[in-house]
Amino acid sequence: MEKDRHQIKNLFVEILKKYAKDPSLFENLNDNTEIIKDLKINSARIVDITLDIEEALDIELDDNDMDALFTIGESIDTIEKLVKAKT
Amino acid sequence: MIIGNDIVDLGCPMNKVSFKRKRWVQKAFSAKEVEFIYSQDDPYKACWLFWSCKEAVYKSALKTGLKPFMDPKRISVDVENIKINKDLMGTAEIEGKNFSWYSISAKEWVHTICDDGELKNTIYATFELNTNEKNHGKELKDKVVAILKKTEGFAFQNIFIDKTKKGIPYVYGLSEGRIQLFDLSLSHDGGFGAFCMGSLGHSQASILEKELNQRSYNQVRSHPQPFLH
Repeated sequence: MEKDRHQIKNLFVEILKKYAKDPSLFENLNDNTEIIKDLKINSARIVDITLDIEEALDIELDDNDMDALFTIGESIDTIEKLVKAKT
Repeated sequence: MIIGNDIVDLGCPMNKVSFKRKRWVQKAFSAKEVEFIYSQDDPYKACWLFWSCKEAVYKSALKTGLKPFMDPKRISVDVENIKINKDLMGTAEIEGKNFSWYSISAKEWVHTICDDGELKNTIYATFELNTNEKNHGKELKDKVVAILKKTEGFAFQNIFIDKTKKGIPYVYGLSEGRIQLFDLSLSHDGGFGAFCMGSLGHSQASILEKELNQRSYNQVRSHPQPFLH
């Protein structure tokens, strides 16, 4: 069954938490939260996060899609678009 | 030249996991870079050397007005022109602009600095971090200040590190009422921290001054001693 935006956000945040050193930074998440600057996630982990999303949702993020993993809002927009395109 | 730097802890478990992951290297690097990495005696170290090159160059380019992006393939390391002196040096390209990088390494880490002066006018260091990982940012800044205070020829004993609104770090040096701004790049990964610091040209300093955290700048200017201690 197709995942809605809320489910995608929850899944994405759980993936991000795997790579964050400071859980308290997730307390005030919003669409403008930047993954590297605000959540202090190491930039190399963006590649891991991309692979995790692909594996969890059976989608593929190309280089342009990966470029959108900048803020929480932009990331969810991109993932939602790819999930909808699959179904 | 605007500097940037990046350190990778080669012993960090996450870095080992990432390298072993199916398709991780292909997601992070171009076909040419992948071919180069796997042609080396130590592909793991080569992978993280290239990653640190990309990061150092990206941090430098951000200071010249580059819009932030997340796709590491938008930075390409020139694999055909890597020079081996005592260390490694070469160039990398972002959106048509070339940047020079210089990379030093030890068994435990790789540290790359984007600087076209081959580090001749740059202060840089690599060191261990000992606090809990979530406190590494503060420990890193404290160690940089301590190193600068001991650096021969660096005349500023009152030193303060801050970031612009865009998150770009810089150093204030204060001496006998004189304030000078320096270009700074900070990096930490796993158990290691690193930095590089260089002088700013007049025009670069003017650009940076416009983006400073004005509140702390004014405080430093008005009351340097109480603010710094």
